[in-house]
Amino acid sequence: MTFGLFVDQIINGVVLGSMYSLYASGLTLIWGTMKLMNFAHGEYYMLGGYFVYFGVTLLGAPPVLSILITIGATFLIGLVTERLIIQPLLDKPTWETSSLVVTVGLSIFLQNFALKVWGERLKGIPYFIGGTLEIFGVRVAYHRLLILAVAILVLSLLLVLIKKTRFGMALRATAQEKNAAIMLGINFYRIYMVTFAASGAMAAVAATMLAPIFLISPWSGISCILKAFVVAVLGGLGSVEGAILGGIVLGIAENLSVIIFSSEWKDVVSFGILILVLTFRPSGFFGQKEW
Amino acid sequence: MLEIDNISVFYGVAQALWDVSLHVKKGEIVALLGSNGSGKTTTLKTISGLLRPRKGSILINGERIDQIPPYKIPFKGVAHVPEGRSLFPGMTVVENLTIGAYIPQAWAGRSEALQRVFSLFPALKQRKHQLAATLSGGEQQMLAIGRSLMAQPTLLMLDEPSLGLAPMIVVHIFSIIQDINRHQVTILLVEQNANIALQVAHRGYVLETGKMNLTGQANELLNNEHVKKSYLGLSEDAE
Repeated sequence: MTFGLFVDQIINGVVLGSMYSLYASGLTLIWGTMKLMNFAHGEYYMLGGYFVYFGVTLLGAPPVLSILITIGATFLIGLVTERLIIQPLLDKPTWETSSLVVTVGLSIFLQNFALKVWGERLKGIPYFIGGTLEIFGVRVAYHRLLILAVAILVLSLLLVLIKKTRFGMALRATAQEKNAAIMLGINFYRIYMVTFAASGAMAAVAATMLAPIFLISPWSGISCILKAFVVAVLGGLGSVEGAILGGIVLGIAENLSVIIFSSEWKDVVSFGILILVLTFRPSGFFGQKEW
Repeated sequence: MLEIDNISVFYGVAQALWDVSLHVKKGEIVALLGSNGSGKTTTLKTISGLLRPRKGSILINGERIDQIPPYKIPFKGVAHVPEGRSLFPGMTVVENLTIGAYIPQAWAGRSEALQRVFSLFPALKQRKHQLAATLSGGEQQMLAIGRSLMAQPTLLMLDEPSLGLAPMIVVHIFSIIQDINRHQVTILLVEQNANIALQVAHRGYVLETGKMNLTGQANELLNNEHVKKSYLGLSEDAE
């Protein structure tokens, strides 16, 4: 193991980890706000991959436009699915189980929808920008730097939204004490819809950035939801800051493990981490103990 | 201002209120008294829309509010300080207050409202950036009242503001409730501590096992034998 390889893997880990952070923060945000474990979260990632592929290939749109269209489309689909299949279950006493069943069902539906409509052939798109940056003997592809920049931009926007805006305060109020929020005039149905849709759109952003690296298929979402789950638990379910940190930590851990084991062991390492966290610190980095 | 007419409320199959009627006129402080489980909190929750009456009606300024969703009630000028305060524990004092002004008609004036709340409760100003969960019981009650005032309500409903507080702090809170009332806010006060509630209130109602049993001017109730015996602890056999 050379020092150069070590540095390379740290950089790769941070870059890939930033994407884990991006899609895990959506999953954790939905949990923190709605107490819903969204098993269909990965399918918004999968849809994001297809949308950017169609934008770039069929429409021939420039990447920025394709990404914006993807964000808009997944956000809209998120709003509609939340309104149609999640909201009717909200006030029912069986919410804890029905919400799980319905998102698993949505996940299966969207996978098979993609399979039926777009086929099982894998799809890919070219890098948004080619070339490689070289500093101090370390080479990093420009596309990877772009990934990192997008992750930092989107996650910063998310944190500002949650901490500083009227909507963000209403979201936190609803998450912490729903009835008190209602008594202040907060329409929690609308908060839930937007939270659900924004989380799906964030997963889709990650998909657009990873589309040139990982091939797009109806099953792309499965690895997304599994990683997002590990990261969200590692960071503490419900904590966005935890998901951001957890994503980077998992990304680095996976990429360092590749040096020691072969790359097929990557998932063993991440689920090993999940099991260790659940055993020794189930609340993760920043999770509340009470849930 | 508030008119409750013969409401019956159920939790599932269990009936909690039987034909309860009550009214509050503009500018009044009205105390709703009763022991544990008599239906006081249920009454407030029904006004706030968290529970639906199966029978009867609730009017604010002549407009029926018992069929609209609970998050629309604050738009009618009604604020509710729930029992146990229900603060947002992971938010700071300023954030708890700011979100109190969530409804559009209050949002624009939120910084002036914040200054008014701070002048009413100087203790909160000193703890501005502390998380709500770290406040003392009295400060939490002040924050809960302050948060509800941020919406600039015309009717303020308080559920057991004295609960779990030291006597000195209770006196302080009740003097502030009178201050708030002098600033054109009508108050409906739910209390187990009938003695202090009737000292600040103009009128009172007594709920017993979900039925309205007595009503009258505050001083009449203070001298009523039944109230004395059951709620003020003034009968001979009281310990």
